[in-house]
Amino acid sequence: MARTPHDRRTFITRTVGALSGIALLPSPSLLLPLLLAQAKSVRVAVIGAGRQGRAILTELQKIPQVEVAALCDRSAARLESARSRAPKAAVFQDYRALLETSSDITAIIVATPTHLHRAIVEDAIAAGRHVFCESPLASTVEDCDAMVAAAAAAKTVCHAGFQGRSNPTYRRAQPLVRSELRDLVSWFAQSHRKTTWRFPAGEGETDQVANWRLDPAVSTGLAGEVGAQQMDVAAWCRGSHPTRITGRGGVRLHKDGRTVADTIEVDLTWDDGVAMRYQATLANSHGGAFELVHGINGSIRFAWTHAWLFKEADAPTQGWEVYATRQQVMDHEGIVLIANATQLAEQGQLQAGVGLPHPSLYYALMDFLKSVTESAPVACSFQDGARSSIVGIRANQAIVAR
Amino acid sequence: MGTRFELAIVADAATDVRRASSASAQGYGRPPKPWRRQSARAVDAEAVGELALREVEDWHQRLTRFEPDSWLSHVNRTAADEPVPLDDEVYSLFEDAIAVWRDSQGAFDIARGHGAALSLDPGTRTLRFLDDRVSLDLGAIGKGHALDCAVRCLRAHGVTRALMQGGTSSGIAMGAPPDGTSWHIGVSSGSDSGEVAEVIDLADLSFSVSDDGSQPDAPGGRHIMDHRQARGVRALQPSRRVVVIGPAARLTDAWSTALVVLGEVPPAFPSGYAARFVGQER
Repeated sequence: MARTPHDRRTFITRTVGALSGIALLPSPSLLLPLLLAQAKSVRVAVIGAGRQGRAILTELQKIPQVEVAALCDRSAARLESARSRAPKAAVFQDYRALLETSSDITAIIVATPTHLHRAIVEDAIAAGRHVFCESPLASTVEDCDAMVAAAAAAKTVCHAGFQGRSNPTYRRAQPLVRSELRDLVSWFAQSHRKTTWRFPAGEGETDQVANWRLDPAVSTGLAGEVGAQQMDVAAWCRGSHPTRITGRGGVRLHKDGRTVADTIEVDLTWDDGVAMRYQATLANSHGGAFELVHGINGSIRFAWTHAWLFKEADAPTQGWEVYATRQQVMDHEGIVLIANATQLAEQGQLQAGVGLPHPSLYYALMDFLKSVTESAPVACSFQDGARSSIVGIRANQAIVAR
Repeated sequence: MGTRFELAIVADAATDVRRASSASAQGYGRPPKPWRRQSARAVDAEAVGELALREVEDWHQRLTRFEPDSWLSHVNRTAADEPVPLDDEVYSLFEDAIAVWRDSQGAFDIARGHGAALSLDPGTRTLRFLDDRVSLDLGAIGKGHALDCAVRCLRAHGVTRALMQGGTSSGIAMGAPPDGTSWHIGVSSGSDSGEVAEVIDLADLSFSVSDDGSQPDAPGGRHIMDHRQARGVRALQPSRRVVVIGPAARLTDAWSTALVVLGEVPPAFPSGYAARFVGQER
């Protein structure tokens, strides 16, 4: 269920001001709205009309070929709010009724609280629907395993919502982790965002239900709800998942009786000895969310709408760098890696702060819809998504056990 | 540049005024001292405040023109080529923006000089640019709309008394504080001393203050543009500072901007709203 919070401008200022680098931008075609190539229309339902559900609706509004035909949430107030972004949608408070009565809806997007994913996903698959499930996939290892098994037996598309794998900038940078950085030295990631995670209960809803992220019985904590997305980026780039996880955390700011940590640190180690430190907090917003990987030939900083490569002075120069456009950014001259840079410069696109034209969520949804309509390969399978979800779950367990 | 939003909610007891949170468009900061916690309701107030400020953040993410991945940036890229579907809330916002553009003879213009090129289709509920030079900047009306939505959220969760402001130039007074019948809002004279020129008393009303003060980073050195002339508002002696009061913050925000440009209240100024040039009788 995690959105990926970013403080992009702060990050841009700090990073570009510190070093000159090579900005890793996607091709110009990605600066234009992506459309489903075959223009096939698809009727979708969104189950879960909280903040993430409404964010999904905002992105779906940009895709003319998508019709949001149904919305589902237990809360009438959330349904009403979401319906303003999908006025033609039928509304349901029970997802089973939606699945039973809306046979013409082919794709289901699940954005409910994490611990409710499994039942909805299994029923949607059983009903023959394509499924996009937000990350993390589930709140327990058992549920992850069950969802993977259900997806394996499915004849429909099952897409896990780990957005880094669909993000064009990350796709541009991902192969460079191996080809440019060579042997890895370390990996760091953080998510800093000052917020409470506490929300008012809606009508007929208990505080425990409304604040499920703060309920230790069902919550995967910061490590799962936020961290799994960023841990998945590391796993995806490395082609494997960490095998050793330790963690610690506590309540640093929100001392309102909660036991779910508002600040955590997690150490993840791969079999080859490469280690990742992950930090997340709800008590400080400095730096936002990013991932930073260091190798013997350079470093790459991922920041969701941007990624930069910073080369070590003794790193060999690659042929493609010769053709990269140089750009003055803040006080430093960087090299912009982007095709048709001259054309973009004429369009005023090559300026400090230029980034992806859509949030990562848009690209993840587009990948799902392409798989549904064009049989494109699934960008993040349930199997891959479950592995990263389990990393988040295990990290949370390590924090709680300590 | 981020706009800082602040919210004070009056919770249960008469003396129990709690500061909910504060937010800016760039990140979220919180005043150093959080909450006293004496009752379950106090926690509810914090939770409701958080929800309201998230509403502001959501609208910022949708309506800012400064982030390339915002919904508004998507509209700016595509609406000259094809109609962009609008949901009910945004359609209504554009209706209001176009109405203020028309009634202010273009003094307020989200299309920055190309207001006539905005085409709303009520049948398909779409927006289209009739001129490919159009680039929208919802600016003031977007901030006011975010305030309106946040206050609607507060009301939906039972809050009846609160004061919310955005950028110190716009706000909404819900109900009244425990010790009075209205919120007292001081309007600065605009001088460096920060002297309060006037105090306005508000209950269940929105307010917006605009002036033609200089802003070195803005085009022409002015932060309010007269798009009819494609230049910053000319500095006057004394400078114009206008307060607009009315039911909806998005309209008080739009009209306060328009009146700074116009220098007077036009005949089409909406009923139910009041305007006052600070230091001048109009």
